[in-house]
Amino acid sequence: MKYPDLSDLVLGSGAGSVAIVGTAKNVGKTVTMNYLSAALAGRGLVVGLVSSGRDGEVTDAFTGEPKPSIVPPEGAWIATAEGVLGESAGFLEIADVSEKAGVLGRLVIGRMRESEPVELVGPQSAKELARVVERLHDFGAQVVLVDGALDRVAAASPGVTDAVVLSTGASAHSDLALVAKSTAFVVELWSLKTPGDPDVLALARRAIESGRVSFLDEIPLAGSSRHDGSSLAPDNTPRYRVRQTAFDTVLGCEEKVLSQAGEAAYVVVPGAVSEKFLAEAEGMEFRDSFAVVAKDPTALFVRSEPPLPVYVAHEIRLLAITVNPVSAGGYSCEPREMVDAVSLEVYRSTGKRIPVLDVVSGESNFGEVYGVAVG
Amino acid sequence: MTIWERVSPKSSLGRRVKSRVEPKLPGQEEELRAELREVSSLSEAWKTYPDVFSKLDNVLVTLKDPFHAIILLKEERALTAPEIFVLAHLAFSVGRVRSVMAESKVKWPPRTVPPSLDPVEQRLLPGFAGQPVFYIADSYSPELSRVRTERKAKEKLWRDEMTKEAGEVERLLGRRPGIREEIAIRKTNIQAVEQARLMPELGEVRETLTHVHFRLKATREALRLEREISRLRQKETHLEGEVLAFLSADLRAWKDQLEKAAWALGELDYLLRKAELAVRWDAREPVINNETGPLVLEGAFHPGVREEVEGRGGKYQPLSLTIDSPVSVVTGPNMGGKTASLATVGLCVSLAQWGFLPPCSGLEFSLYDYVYFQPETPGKPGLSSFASEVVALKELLTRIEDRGLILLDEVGRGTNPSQGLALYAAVLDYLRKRAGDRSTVLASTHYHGLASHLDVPHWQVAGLSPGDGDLEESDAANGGKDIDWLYRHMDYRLVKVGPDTPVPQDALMVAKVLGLHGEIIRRAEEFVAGAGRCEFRRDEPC
Repeated sequence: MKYPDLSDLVLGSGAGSVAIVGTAKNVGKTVTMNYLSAALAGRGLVVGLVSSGRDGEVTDAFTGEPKPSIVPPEGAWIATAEGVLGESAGFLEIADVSEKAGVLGRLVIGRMRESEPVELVGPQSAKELARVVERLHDFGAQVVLVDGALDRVAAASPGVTDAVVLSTGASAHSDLALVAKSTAFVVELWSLKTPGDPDVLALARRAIESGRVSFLDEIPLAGSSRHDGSSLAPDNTPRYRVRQTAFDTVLGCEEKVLSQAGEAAYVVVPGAVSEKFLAEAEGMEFRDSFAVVAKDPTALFVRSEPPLPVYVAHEIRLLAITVNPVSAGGYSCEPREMVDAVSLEVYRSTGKRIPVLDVVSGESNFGEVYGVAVG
Repeated sequence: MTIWERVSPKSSLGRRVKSRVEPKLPGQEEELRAELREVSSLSEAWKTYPDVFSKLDNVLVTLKDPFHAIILLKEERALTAPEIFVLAHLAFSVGRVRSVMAESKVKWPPRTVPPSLDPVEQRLLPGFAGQPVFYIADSYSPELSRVRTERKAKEKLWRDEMTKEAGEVERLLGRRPGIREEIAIRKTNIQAVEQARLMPELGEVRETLTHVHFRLKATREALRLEREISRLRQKETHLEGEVLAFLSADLRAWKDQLEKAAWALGELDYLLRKAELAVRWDAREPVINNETGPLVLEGAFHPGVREEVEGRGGKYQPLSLTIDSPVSVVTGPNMGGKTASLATVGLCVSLAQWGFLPPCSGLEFSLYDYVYFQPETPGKPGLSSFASEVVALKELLTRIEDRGLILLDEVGRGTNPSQGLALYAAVLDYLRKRAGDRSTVLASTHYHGLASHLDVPHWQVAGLSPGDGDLEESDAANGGKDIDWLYRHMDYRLVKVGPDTPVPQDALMVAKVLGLHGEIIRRAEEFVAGAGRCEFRRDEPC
């Protein structure tokens, strides 16, 4: 049986923009970007390329080792800072120059006249990044690939890209089991769901748009004691109301925010959700039901499974995981071993069969999880 | 958002113009009339030909700021490719704006018509159609074209050479080098590792715990080609630099026209924003008198307040009044719109002097040197609200020699009532005597007798009519009417009244409407009527 290629997965998903997010340095993110952009271009699609922040440097910023460059195919649209383009940028048809300038100058959008290695430097904020993705689409890019990383995670935000490819590899850990576990944890986090109750979801989204940390209070109903209640209320009776706080973040004021929780059923956080906030929320002796609603999974900055129910206002769509079995430090393992180990651990942790591929060796696992009794 | 913040040019060029504008002052009447005539004329044209303005806005919103590039030209420095793109884009935008202007029947102020940059457009965007893009085209330099062609040919030869070599590796090892031209062989496959080590096509690059990695080595021919390609690339970069240098030199001859065009587009953008507001407000050109005369306002409104009122489903009542005395007094109930009326007068006059058609159906006035508005001020750190008020009044008095529109809102409200009233009366008297021949003072107060004491015109908010306050007992028991009821029944118009007009019992009526206990209201009414032993009738100045 011939399994689909990464470009098949992207095309099949219908996503107009895909973030490639690495779990660590040297996990093959750039190789994946190059592979995917070449494969999509080879199938006649116009691709767009942009980075969240700075990546694609000639040498790795941490290790000083030579790194592969982003090599957009001929005809691709790219967005990057004028400071890294060189004066003439002879390979680029310049079609737009932004008004605002960053440290490396204004953002230039152009079309590659020939395939050349480039350094991509893009905006860090999700809002700016989303605008650039839209501009690249306007210019004619059919699929925009956004280079991201776990520390530059705006790329994966559903407000920026439609879908995500996660890159992991031997550079993340020297132990294959740990690579698989850490990857599975990210997948688990990115699998967070929206609240099942559509009313709660609608109120949470509105609260997030307001930019204020808010509580959703249950509106008391005769005969109903629980907020989840298959209540006695008629269908059109609102069961929750939004109570906005003066806080626009929970960072540094976790306890203060939670002290206002009262009898709330949910706390909706428009920005980053820290481990400390979740611990405080769990540690407080609330009624038996209290949950957090974050903007999307990229807003969660945690290293372990949240201790209380966490929902998101917008889900992430994870298309595939790519692996790089070779680490920058010299450790490597068999590509087959790595795709299988990651696939297995992701399945064990999340119950999901996410395609795992090594674009260099061509090894892949689409869910034929070894050693597990499926079903 | 303030009205000034709402004036939001589409381009950074428009924002530059906005940041440089200044109000017109006494002595500049003719200039202001001409400026307002332009706005009026364009706002009328906007209503007739909205498509024209929409097309112009579509161009303005895409403008790039070319001033950095223009500075580089003035300093005789070479431009980078992005800078040249910005100028190419400017030339392209100028072409579109000129074409829209030429095809329209609108009379455009000459300063908003950018000079033609057609030669610049042709030079920087040769043979292009559609959205502008700039690149160092082969057509700029036959030598560059030749070098590029040669480099590409050599690159193809190099790829062919390496492909041939990779094919040889595949034939011998059964695998082809992959991404980065690398091939990794598992150490346990000792025979293959040894074979690879002996192959001249491969070089060992690293060894890991499990694998030995080899990279495809360039052949002698490939190395020769690499050197050639590198040399050609250097030459190409040099020639591209030369193209940028001579394009920059060509553009230098156009620097004044480029700058003029940029400012013209900025002026156009800013002027369109003024015309757009005039259309939205259905505003009229004001009458500006050269000599000091009355301030006449017809059908004026405060855009922010009107939006707020209409947003809650209310009906906004415009303001009309004629101020023909150096000092006039406004009284009215709480929630009666006194502050909003003062703000509306100040806003209309200020906007007109800043070159906007004011939000009213008619304005006649003489230019002022300044507009002073002192609403209720929160206390500055370390100062009570009254002390802050006094400090602000002192600042006002430093400009006593200039002609000002002075809008005072309940001065002295934050201190002892009798002394506050005395102070207010004294301030108004001082202003009348020292600045009455040139300035206009409009002062709001709750002290009904202030106007008659100073013998100045008295404007009163029409307020609630006595019947409005007739509440059902059940209303009061239920906490009274809500604020919306008050909004609906309050008559915000200013009515000129004489000294004999009875003092309306507005405060008590508002308290009653809002549901304060009936017993308290009744007792208060007795006090006002003199039935109690309370000496609260302090509505006459001391």
